[in-house]
Amino acid sequence: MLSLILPVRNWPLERVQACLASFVALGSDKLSEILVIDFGSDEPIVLEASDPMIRLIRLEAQLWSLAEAINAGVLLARNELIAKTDADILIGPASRAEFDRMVSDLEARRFGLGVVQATDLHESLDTPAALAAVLAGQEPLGRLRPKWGQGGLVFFSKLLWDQIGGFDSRFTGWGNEDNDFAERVRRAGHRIGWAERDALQIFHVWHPPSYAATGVISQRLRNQKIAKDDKSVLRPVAFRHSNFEALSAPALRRASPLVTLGIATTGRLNRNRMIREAINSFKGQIDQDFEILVVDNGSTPEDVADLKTNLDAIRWTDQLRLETTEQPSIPAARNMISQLARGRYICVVDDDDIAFSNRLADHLKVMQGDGLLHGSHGGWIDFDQSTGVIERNGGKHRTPATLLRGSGKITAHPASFYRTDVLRAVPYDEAFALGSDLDLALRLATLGFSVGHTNTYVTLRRYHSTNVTITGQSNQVSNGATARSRALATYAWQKIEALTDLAKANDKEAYCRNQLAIDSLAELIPGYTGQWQIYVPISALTSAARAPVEPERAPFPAEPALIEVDYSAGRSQQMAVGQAPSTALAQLNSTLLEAVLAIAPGDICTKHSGLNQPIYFRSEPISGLRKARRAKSAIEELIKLPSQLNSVRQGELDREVPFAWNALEIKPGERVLKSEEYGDLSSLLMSLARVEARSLMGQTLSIVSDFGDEGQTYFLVSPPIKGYEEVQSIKFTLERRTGMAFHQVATNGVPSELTLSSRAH
Amino acid sequence: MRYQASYDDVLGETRVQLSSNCYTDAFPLLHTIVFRRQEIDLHSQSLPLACAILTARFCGEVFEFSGTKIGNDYAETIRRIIGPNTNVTSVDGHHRTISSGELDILSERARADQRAEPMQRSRDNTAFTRIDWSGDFVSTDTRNSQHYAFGAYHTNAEFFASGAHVSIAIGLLHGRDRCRNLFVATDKDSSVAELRALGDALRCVSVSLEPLT
Repeated sequence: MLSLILPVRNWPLERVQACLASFVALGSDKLSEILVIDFGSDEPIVLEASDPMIRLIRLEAQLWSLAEAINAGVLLARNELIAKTDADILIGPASRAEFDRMVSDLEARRFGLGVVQATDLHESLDTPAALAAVLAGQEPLGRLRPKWGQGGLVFFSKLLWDQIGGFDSRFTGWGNEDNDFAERVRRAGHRIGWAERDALQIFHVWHPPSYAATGVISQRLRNQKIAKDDKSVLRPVAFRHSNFEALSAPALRRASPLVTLGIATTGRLNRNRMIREAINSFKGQIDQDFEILVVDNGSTPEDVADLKTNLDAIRWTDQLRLETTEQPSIPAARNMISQLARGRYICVVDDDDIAFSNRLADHLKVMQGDGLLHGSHGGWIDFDQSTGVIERNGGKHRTPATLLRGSGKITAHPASFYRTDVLRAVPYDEAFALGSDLDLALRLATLGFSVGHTNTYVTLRRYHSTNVTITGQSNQVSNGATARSRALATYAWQKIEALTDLAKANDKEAYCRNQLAIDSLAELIPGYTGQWQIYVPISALTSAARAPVEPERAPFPAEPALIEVDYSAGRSQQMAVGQAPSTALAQLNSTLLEAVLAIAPGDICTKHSGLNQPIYFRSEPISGLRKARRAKSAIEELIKLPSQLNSVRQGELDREVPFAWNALEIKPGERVLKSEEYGDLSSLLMSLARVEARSLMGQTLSIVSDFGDEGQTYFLVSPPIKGYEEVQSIKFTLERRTGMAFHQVATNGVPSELTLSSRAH
Repeated sequence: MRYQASYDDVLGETRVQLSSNCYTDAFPLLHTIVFRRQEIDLHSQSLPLACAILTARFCGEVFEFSGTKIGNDYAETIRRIIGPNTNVTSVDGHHRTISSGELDILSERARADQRAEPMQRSRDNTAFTRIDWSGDFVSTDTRNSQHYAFGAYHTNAEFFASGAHVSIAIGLLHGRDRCRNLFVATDKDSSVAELRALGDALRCVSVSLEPLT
C-alpha cells in the first residue's frame, strides 16, 4: 500500500482541496493514506469535508523547507511505499491503471524513484476550472514539461529514503531538494523510472510565480550551492526548521542514524575503562547522529555481564547496543557489525582508542567532496601510556600500489570509515584470526574501491600489554604476508615491477592539518603521564633576551632566521645567522642559565639533524605532565619568554634522522673540512669559541647535527673550498685554533685524510 | 550509460569505465569494471554485449559504447537485455556479423572444491574450451575465503551482476565473436526466468546459452 505526502505552507486552501479531490477521485486501491503536512502556515490549514484516508499534520516552523516537510511525512506514513506530490498538481481519473502499475513496479524494485511527467496548464484556467476539466476526463490546454527533474508526482520506498538519508533539510524554501534527492537515488544504484506519459497524466495548475516573494531568489541560490558542493550520497535525516523532533520523538527513531560506531571487543585487562574512554571520546560529535554498536566476541559470560553493566553506565546516549557472539573472532564480530548496523556509514572504532573531536566530521567532509568515494581514512597517533611514546602517523593515500608495494605505515583500520553497503558487499575474511583489517584494505583497493584521506589525524591509538598488535604480532605478520601475496597475485607477475614503481611515485605521507603539540595531545589521554623535557631556545638565555617583555603577549621566540648565504659563485647553503655558531656560548647569560639549571638540570642540543640547526637548552627527563608543566612555567617566569614541552620519545624520534652529507652540494674540485665527532654540543661550542667570531672563518663555519650508532653527534664544517693549497691552509688554521682534527669531504660525502694525491683535483 | 574500454599496459588491466549519459541511469557501487590476468579484445562486439549483461540494471535509456563498431544484430541483443526503451547509439546497420559458432565454451567461477561438467556436449568436432574466473577472495555467503581459487580471469564484475551473469560475460569475452554453445554454471541465486530471457536475447547473435545446474 502507498502513502501520498502533500507538503504545504501558506498555500490557498482551494488549491490544496482541489489536489486532494483529484487523488481521492482516482480511486486507486493501492493508495490508503494521504498526509497533508502543514509546515508552519501563518493560518493553520483546516480541511473541509475531509476523506477518511486524509490525515492533516500541523508542524510549527519559522522557515519553509519542503525537504523537511517531506521527511516528516515519510516518518509519519503508515506504509512502506511513498508518493509525494505538490498542492498545485491534479491527477486525471483515467490514470489509475498506470498509477497502480508504478506502485507495483516500485514494490518489485524495478526502479528506485518513479517520476511522472507533468503538463503545465494555461494561465486562463483557474483552480476550479482546471479541476472540473481534469475530473471530466478532458485534456485541458497546457504544455508538457521536459522529462527531467522530478515532475509533480514521485514514487519511492521508505527503505530507500532511509538508506540515503531522505531529503536534505539544509535546502530551504523549495528548489533543488528534489534534483538532489534524485541524483542521490541514482548514485545509490537505483534507476529512475518514468511513468507512461499518456497513461498517467498529471497537471500543474497555473499560479503567480513565487519568485516575487522576498528571499526566494537567495534561497534558490543557496540551494543551488548545496547541490553543487555536496557530492555525498548518504546524508543525515535532520530536523532543523520545525518542531517535528519535539512532537514526534518515537517517529523520529524510525530513521536510521547517519553513522554506526562499530566496536569489536573481547574480555581483557582494563577493558571496561578503555572502552568507556573510547565511547566517550565521540560524545557531542555530529549532533550525536550516530549509534554505538558493541559486539563482544568470545568473552566469558561474566565478562559480558560486566561489560553490559559498564556500558549501561554511559548515560549520554540511548543509541548504544551490545551484541555478543561466542565465536572468538574479530572478523566475525566486525561482519556482525556490518550486518546489524543501522547507520549509513560505519566508523571503525577499537575498544581501546580515543577519537579526536573532529573525527566523524572530517570523515564526512571527505565524502561530501567526492561522491565516488567508498570510505575515508585519516592519520592516527600511537601512544603508549607506560613508556610515554607518542608517535604521529599521517598515513598515505590508499592505492593498490601503495598498499602492495609501498613502504612505511599507509593506513590504520581504527582510523577508517566506510559506507555500510561497501562493508556488506566486501566482508572481512573470517579465515583470518588477525590481520583481516589489512586484508580488507588490500581487497578494497584491488577491487577498485576508493578510500580518500581526511588530511587530519582522527584517532589516538593505544599501545598496551594486551593490545592484539602486540600479543598476536607473529600471527598478524604472517597473515599480513598471506593477504599481500594473494592480492598481488591478482596482477600478472610481469606487472609487479610496475606496481613497485607506482608505489614509489605515491610514497608521500599525507599531511594532517590538526598538528597538536605533544603536551596538548597528552591532555586528550586520560591518565597519561610519560617522560617530558623542556626546550628553551638558546637565544632566550642570552643577555639580550632579558629585555622586559609582557609574557602573555610575547610571541614564541623566532628560531634563528635562515637565510641563503652564497659561499661561492652560484652556490647556496642554508645557514642560521641569527648568531654565528661561534658566538652561541659567548653571549649566554650565566646567571640566567644557572637559575634555569636550578629549576631543571639539562644540557644544550639541537632538536633535529641538519646544518646549523637552532640550538636549545634541553632539560633532563621529568616524569609526569603536571610536574613538567610546573617546571616549564617556572622557567618561563624566569626568562619572560615561552618555552616548549616535548615528550622524551618524541624528542628521540625527531632526532633519529641521519644527516644527508650529500646535501652539502660539494662540486667537483671542491672540499669541505669536517671536524672530528662530538657527542656533546657544548664541548664543540667551547672549541668553536676559540675562533674569532667576527672573522670570516668564524662567520662561515657551520655545525652539523647528525645521528648515528652513537646517537646524536655534532660536527663543525667549513664551507666548500677550492684548491689544494687553500684547503691545506684553512685546515691548518682551523686545527690550530680549535684544537680539533679535520678531515676533508669530497663530492662523494666520505671523509678522508688530506694527502698530496688530493692535489689531483 | 556511456562505456569507455581501455587497456592499461602498465598494470595489465582491461578497464571499462562507466559514466552516466542520461537521467535514467543508476550508478553501480563501482564505476569501473576491471579484468586482469587475461587480455580482452577491445574491438570485438562481444565486449559491449558482455558489458550490457553485467550492467543491465544500471543502464538507462541510452547505451553508448565508444570504440567498438556495433552491428544491428548485436544492438538488437543489447536492447533485449537492457530493455525495449533503450537506445543503442552508433549502430552500423550494414554490419550484420553474428557469432561464427566455431567454439563451445564452458564458463564458471573458479573453485578449489568442485567443477561443473557440461550436460550435453555436442558430438561434432567443434572445439570446446573451459574458462573460469575469480573475483573477491571472500564469499558474501560464508564470509570466508575457503575454497577460493584463482581463475583464468580475475575481475570485479561480481559487484555489478550475479555470478551466472559474470560467467556469461566472461564466456562471451573469451570466445569473442566465435562462440556457439555457452555452458554456464549457475548458482542458487540464479533466476531461471532471467537466464531464459538472456538466452532468448543471445540467440539473435547465434549464441546458445546452456545453464548448468
